[in-house]
Formats: sequence, structure tokens, C-alpha cells
Amino acid sequence: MSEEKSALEQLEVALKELWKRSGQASVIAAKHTEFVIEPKIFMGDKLNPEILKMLALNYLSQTSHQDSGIGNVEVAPDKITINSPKGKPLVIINDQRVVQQYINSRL
Amino acid sequence: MAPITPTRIGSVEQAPRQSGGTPLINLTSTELNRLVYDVRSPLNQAQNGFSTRPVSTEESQALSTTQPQITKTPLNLQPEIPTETYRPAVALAPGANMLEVIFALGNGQLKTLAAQANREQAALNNGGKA
Repeated sequence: MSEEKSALEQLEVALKELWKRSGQASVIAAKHTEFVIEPKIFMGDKLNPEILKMLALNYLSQTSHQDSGIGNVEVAPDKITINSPKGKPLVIINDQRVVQQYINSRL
Repeated sequence: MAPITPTRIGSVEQAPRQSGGTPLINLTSTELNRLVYDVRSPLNQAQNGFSTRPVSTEESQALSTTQPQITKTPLNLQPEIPTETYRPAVALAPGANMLEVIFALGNGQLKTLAAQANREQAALNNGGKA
């Protein structure tokens, strides 16, 4: 019997792959086996904050090099707000290190 | 069985032995009587078909004292940061939906899946109708 995965489950798999490719995955290497530590993507009805941070950083790293999407990022001295194309605030980044890095990369 | 000698146990010194006579047990007559009772009592009860007995005739001090009422105190794990000013490093904006955020921030495949998951959830909320 073939079990078709729901879109949410496929999304979970895709985000785990992205997590692995981002280089944040931890691997425990035994003699004949390797264990890859995978994050829990969804915590109840919420997104794991680490995954959200990875997505946000990934997005910001692209917007700093491309013209498209820059209008969707509002930069204030203490925070960055990422908006939807319609202007609705989606993500707020308060991490000062990230804010400063983003500001410096645009100078 | 051969006696334990210094050669058997290596360099470990033997404890000084008591030089015969009655072992030194400092018990009052009351305590001694209680000890005898504690040993005899289960034997007698076992003969009479009983198998349980109170370990001691004394009431436990812990049981006799009244238990303090348990009070719940909220635990603040980050006392230096007041709750109203706490701001996580990266967070969803108020009113933002998780799938909406993945759709906006993700690449092509994530966008497609997030949109599909959003449609599925909407259908579920709509009573199973697509």
C-alpha cells in the first residue's frame, strides 16, 4: 500500500534537506554507522525558531546581492523586518549581530 | 574456607579485631526490649498466619507532622529580562502564518509545497472540501 505524503510532510522533508545543505547538521560518526541529528521542523503548529532563522538568513543573504526583494526588507537600527510582497510583516529579526552584518553588507 | 590473611588481600590492612568478650552495643534496656520484640514479633505472627507488622511502635516523625501546603510559584527562567521586553532573535511577526512565511522566504520547491500545504489546511478547516 503506497502512502502519499501530505504537503506538510513533504515540506518537512524539504526543510530537513535544506538544513543539511546549510551545514548546520551535526553528524555522530560511529565505526560502521553515522547518525545525522535532524531538527524537529514543526513544533506543534509553530516553526522551529532555528529553522525560521535559517530561512531568514538565507533570504537576507540573497537579497543583499540581488535587487529583487530588497523592497521587502525594512531595516531599522535595532531590527530587520521582512515583509510579504503585499507589505505584510512576516518575520522580525532582533539579533543585533545579524542586523549589523546585513547593514554592513549593503554599504 | 581459608581465613582472610594479609597475603590473600594484598596490601590492604585488616581492621583491628575485637579481642573477644561481649560486642559493644550501647543500648538502654528499653531499646533492647524493643529490639527483642521486633525480632520475636514477626516470628510469632508468621506462626499465626500473619505476615505483616509495623516496623516500629514509634510513630514516624515525618508522618506525625502536618504537611505544609504546596504553593505554586511562577518560575522565571530569565529573571534579568522582563517578560514584556523579551524579544527573540528571530520571530514571526504578529499575525503572520508559518506557511505564509515559508512561502515568502523559501526557494521554488519550498514555495510550491508551502502553497500546497496551505491549500490542504484550508480544505481541512473547510470541512474536507477543497
